Amino acid sequence: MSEKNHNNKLKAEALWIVGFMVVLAFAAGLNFYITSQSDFSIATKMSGSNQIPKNSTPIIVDGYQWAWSFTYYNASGKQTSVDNLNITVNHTYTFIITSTAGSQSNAVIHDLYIPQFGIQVYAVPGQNNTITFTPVKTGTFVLECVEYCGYEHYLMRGYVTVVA
Amino acid sequence: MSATTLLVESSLVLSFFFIFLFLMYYKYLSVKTEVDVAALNENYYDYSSYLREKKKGGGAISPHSFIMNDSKSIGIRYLITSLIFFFIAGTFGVIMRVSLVEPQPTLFAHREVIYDILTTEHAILMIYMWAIGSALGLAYYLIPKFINMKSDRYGNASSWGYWIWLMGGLFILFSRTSTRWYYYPPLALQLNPYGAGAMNWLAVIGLEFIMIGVTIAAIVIVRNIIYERSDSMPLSKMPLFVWSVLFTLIMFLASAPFLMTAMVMLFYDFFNPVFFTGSSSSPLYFTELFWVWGHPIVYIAILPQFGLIYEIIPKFTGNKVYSYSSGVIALGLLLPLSELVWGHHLMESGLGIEWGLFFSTASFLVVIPSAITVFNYIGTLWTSEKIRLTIPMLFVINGIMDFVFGGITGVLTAILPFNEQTHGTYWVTGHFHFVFMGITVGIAFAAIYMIWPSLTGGRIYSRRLAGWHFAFTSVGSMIMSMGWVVGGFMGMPRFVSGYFARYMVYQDVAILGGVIIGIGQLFFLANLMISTAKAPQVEPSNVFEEVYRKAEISGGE
Amino acid sequence: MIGKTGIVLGVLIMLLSGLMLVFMFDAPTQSGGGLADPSNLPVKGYMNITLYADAGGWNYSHGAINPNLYFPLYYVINFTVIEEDNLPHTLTINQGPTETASSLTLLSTGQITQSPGHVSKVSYEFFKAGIYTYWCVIHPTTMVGQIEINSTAGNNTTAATVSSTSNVMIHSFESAHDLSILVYSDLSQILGSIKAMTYMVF
Repeated sequence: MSEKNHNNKLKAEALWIVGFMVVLAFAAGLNFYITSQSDFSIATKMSGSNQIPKNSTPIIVDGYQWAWSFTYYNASGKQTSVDNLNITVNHTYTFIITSTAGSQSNAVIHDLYIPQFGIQVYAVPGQNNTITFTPVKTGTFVLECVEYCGYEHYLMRGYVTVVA
Repeated sequence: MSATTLLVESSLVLSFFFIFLFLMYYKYLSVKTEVDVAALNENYYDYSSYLREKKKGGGAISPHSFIMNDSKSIGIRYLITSLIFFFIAGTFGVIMRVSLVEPQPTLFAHREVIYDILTTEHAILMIYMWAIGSALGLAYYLIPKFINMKSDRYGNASSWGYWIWLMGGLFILFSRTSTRWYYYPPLALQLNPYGAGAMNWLAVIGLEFIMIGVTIAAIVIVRNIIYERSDSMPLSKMPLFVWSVLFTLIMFLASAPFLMTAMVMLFYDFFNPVFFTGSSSSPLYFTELFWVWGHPIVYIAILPQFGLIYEIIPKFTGNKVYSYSSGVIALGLLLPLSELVWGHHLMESGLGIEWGLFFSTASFLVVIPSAITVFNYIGTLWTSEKIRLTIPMLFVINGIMDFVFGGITGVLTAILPFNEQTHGTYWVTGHFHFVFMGITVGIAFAAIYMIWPSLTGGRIYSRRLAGWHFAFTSVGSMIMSMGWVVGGFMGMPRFVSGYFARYMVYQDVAILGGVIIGIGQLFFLANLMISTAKAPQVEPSNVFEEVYRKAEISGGE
Repeated sequence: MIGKTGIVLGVLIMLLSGLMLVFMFDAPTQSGGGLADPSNLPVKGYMNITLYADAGGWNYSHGAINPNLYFPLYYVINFTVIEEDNLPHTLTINQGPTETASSLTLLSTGQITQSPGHVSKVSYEFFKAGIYTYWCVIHPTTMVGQIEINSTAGNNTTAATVSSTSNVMIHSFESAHDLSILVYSDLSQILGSIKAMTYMVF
């Protein structure tokens, strides 16, 4: 291996590392840009400074061993559904998520995940997490629990139906 | 028989027993003195290394390594134990994968919790018994020669560390816990099969024991590297494997207290729930404590293997490591950076955007040292004139490729919107199986193949069987992890014993890969049994250690 | 000799892998021997039964020792256990005519305190007909009796008062410790046996 060859490769190596850092910096910048958009929402602990957006409909989500229950109010009063959610397209909703004790008497950590909406939020006992989303397509989508929560964790799943 | 007779008789029996014990101890002492004198005359630093090299075939796998306390014997202990646990946990992995062949539970129908137990045991045993165990074993085995150790002391402490570590592993195995490897309360406190398994408290003690055992081993190895290093070897010329072990163990010692504290608090919560499930506390406190440890552990599981790659490549290319200093700096940079990124495991737990951005940016930073390391490998391969594609070298090249795949899939999850899509799915599973199968498993096997003649007392492994082992492992892990990564991106949840039918194709691809990996490991077992059954063919020495026998050659050569 | 070691190691690895797999397959998949009450059981009525806990036998100085109990199906049985001696006891039930390991401890040693005259209460609803065993894990040879659950209501009831059928759909344990019974039953059993050993030593 000649010295010249080695020096050429040193340049290539330096270029790679700089190029890699540029790609990383771009990804980090993209990260900052996307998260600053108004329609981006990530699981946030509910507190005095974090309130539900005014234009959104709150849906109270309760995770327990082993089902999800969704509670919300519409024109015909209080609606509760288990492992099944019916919502309207192009309407903004806010999940308020917590975890309570079910038939097994234990409130444990769950994690509600709707893959097609790209939203995910932990259900933590004693804490309300919020996330805001707006469905833009009609159809039936799946919802899952993705934090292991006991025997029937795999059955803690259901469907979200978005209607026009 | 009256009470007096009973008393007299039992006292007599006891006295004989104690006399027998005393005789045994006297015999042991006299033999030990004899061996000590012999070892001193032959210029060995202690009697076990004298015994090992003179009487027992010099560092080969044998039951003797379980009673002798020199570094090499302890290394062999760790290697044997971690191999056994690798196969136990691997069997769990293959079986639980096969049980997912259909969307509805098949093998574990009506007792789905067995699947959860197998998954948890697979995870905990693979990380703490195989990854850490094989790394410690190779460190104990190789480092004395690598640094031309002046004296081999504290073997007793190392032995204690090993037995405590082993006991912790057995506790976890026997606890049959079904909490995940991160023990989140309140589920970990739910002591019945519907929660974490009735014996989860034993798993908590077991993990604490493992941490204590590894801490002892870490202190002994760090001490050996610092104080027992040969005078002819300054830090600036220390082999990169030793550097990587040093950084790994310092990282371990810096982050282990978080987990040890959290485990003690969790155990206290079984009786008096104040720390994580009390009225003024949150289970998230535990998750934070866990991941302050939980992120460094994934580096602890791959860093020693990074160092081994630096050692293996020069042997088969005849070339120096491209840049020694950048290799050391990259390994060292991971140390502080990895302690800053625990939050990226908890981005969906309600941290909010600000903390999420902090942790995601820190996660981008932690990629840079890994990238430097990979470019260093590629530079070394690139500047060499000829690469001999032996089995260890194939494992290394496959490991580098797998690490690139695993690294890219990993760094993508640091992007917040992407994390929302992939956290808790098989994407993450695919990411770390790329890294673990390529680096932790592949490089550990590469190193075992390289020290094969020493381990087996002069046998050589069958290249054909080892080639099949390599081919099955690399192809299988690629198929399996690819199936997971694609399925995870579509939203396939982790840790479920049944799933939506739409994910069946990805699961079945992963099953195919998993079964291929499982079959591949049988070639390794066959190789071990067949090659050791033959008569010794070569000198029980290996290319790893022979290089460092000569004091003047050091560094990356 | 290394040759043998390699083969032994290989065989050992395969053996242990299989053994451990079988061990995992054998893991308990239900707690309390499957006797923990499922929620939303129909309740047909309530019955009360009082038992005196004494190391010589249940109801040792109160009539028949270790009485056979007959209860109808889907009745909530209110057990009242009164401590007679100052020894630790448990009220444990399991399915079948003899004691088995897969059992449900209704009242643990912590709940039946060791002060004579202490009254502890627990409710349990039998939802499967058949022969049960009730016993004390500390004194399994002396304190053991049988419970028979009839699927036809109201037959052969002993020492019990049948109250009127109520409309309550979900019953809860009377004892404030109902949570800990379900959750910590296994742990408290272990602690109970450790305690019992301590009593035997001193």
